[in-house]
Amino acid sequence: MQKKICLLGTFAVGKSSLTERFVSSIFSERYHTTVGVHIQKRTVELESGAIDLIIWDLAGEDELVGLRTTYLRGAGGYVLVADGTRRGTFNKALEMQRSADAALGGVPFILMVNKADLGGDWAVQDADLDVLTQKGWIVFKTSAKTGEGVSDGFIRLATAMGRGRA
Amino acid sequence: MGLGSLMVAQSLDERQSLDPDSRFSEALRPLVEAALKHSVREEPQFWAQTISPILGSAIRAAVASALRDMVQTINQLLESSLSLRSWRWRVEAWRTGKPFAEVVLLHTLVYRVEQVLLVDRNSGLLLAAASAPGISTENSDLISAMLTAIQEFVHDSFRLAQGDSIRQIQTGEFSLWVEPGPSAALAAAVRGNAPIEFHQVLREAVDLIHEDLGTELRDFQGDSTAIEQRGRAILEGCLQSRFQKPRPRSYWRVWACAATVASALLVWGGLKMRDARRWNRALEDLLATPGITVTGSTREHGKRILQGLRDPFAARAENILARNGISQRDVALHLEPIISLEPTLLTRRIRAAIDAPDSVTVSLDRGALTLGGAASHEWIVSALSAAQKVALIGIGEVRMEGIEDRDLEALRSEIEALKILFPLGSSAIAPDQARLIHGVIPKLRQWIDGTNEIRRVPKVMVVGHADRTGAEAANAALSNQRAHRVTELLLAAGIPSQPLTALAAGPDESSQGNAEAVPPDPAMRRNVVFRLSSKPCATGTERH
Repeated sequence: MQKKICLLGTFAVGKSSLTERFVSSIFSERYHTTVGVHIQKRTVELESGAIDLIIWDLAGEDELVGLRTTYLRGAGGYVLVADGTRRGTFNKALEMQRSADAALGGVPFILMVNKADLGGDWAVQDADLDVLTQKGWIVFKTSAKTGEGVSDGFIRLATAMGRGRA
Repeated sequence: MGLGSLMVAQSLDERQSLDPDSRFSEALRPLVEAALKHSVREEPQFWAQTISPILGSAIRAAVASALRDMVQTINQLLESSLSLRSWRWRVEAWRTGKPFAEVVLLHTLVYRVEQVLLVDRNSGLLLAAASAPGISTENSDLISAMLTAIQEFVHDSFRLAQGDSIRQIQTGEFSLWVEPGPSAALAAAVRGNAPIEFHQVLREAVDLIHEDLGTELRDFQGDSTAIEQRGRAILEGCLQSRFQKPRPRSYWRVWACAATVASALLVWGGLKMRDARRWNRALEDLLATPGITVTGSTREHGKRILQGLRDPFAARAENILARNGISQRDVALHLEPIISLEPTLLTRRIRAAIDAPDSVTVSLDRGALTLGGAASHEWIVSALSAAQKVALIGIGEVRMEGIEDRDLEALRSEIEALKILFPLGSSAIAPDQARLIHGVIPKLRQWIDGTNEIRRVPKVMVVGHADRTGAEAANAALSNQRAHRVTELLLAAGIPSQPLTALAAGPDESSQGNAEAVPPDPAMRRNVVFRLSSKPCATGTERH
């Protein structure tokens, strides 16, 4: 079983750092700036069997580069990534969710609020996250540095996707 | 069909439609497995017969494929093991550190489809992959996704129309061929230059896959097991390759070389033969030449060396060789001088020895030399003494009677033309006639001396004539008197008596009966004339 998932998030939210310890890739980071996507692979073991996650790490969206929704096509799920120390990235993630939802329909997704290790500078309130959780969102506080929440996040998404298939 | 079995069949159908997933199958599995085991144990023959057609053909196909690969490899190795080209490749392998087989492969490869991927067009997920031996498919899923990303990127970046997509990417000797289908695309990684027809191969494969697996492709949600199993054979069919066939070896260069060499040999041989023939002809010519003897012929550094003997009076050997087309440059002549007794050369030698003028003929016959023709008195006198020398070179006898002494002949003609005329019935010599006699005396003396000189015996007949008038007896007496009167005068002038003979010819027309010489005038008939002759000393005929 294999699934395509996309990593979405603004520039410098740490998308690449989030995945680099857990994935394999034969492509260089340069693809980010050239083609606008970096493709990686991560295998997640679930109770129902292994799932190969083909991760499309999309280039960080900013004022100049919009979200390439064509890259979302066929994705079984996606990961929204925000920088917990920058409120703007959180808002942008919410915005991206709307774009992705429009492009993909109701496929499973999770939100990773990154840089949890920098707790003191935290700019995203728990209340904000609770609101999302109540809406049914799956939210993880993650740290690329410590690995906190990252693996769980991918497993959770994979599980959700597997369930969606059932 | 009984009611019970009908109900079971209906129930199975219902369960299947309600539970398309695995629970029903899971429940049935132990039962089916046990039944199968039992059946195999009880009826092995039946199972063998059932399976063997499927297994047999599969095994045959596998074995045939393996054999084909092996034969191809062996062929290539054999073809390239001994040629000059293979040694170049061995050097290249050694230089680049690549295995020899790889170098051979790269050089003989026209193209090889190394990998074929079936990609879900929607998600870019890999549906199935096949690759050539030795090519890893480990990262095919990533390649599949990246290829899709690039397709999307190009599509967006260049605002391509819907349905347009990259069909081929070329980088150096490597190319990627993409054949899109409605749900999935085939991507083939090709090393080398595949023919354009390869698109057709991919097209047919894509069509076939969609025909066979249309539903599975449309409903693909991430599980590619079925597609992989059933599509794999089609993908493997696309793994084509072509290696350079050894070109039918063209031997034109060899033939051209051979023809050139053969022509050169032919020309060389022809020239050699011509030379040999010329040489033989020249040798024969030399051998046939009087006074030349060939004792040996050798070759040194391409130059002929001719050894032999040559009489200086023989023809020049160089001229004979030149006459036969042989350049003097090609031959070194070592001819020792000899004296040849060949008659022609002897004749030449004698001519040289006696300094014979062209008017003199020289002939040799069995050791006797005969001179003929005419020459000056002086030459004849000198030749007489020289004739003794020729005895040295084997000439036993020299005959010179045949040679005419031009000077003495001229003298004789002059003397014989003279007529001493007499009055009618008298033998008295008139003073004018006496002067004529005195005039002829030195000439007569010269003739006699000259004749003696050339070893002949001179004879001077003083012939008296009379006219027809008077009695015959008187005339005879008168002519006798006239001859004697002149003879006396000659003797008185000191001409030796020995050659002189007085002869009375009477009224005869001529002393020798020569009618033409008889003058019509009777006065002219009363005369005395001289008739001169000579003969060889010992024997021989008298000459006039």
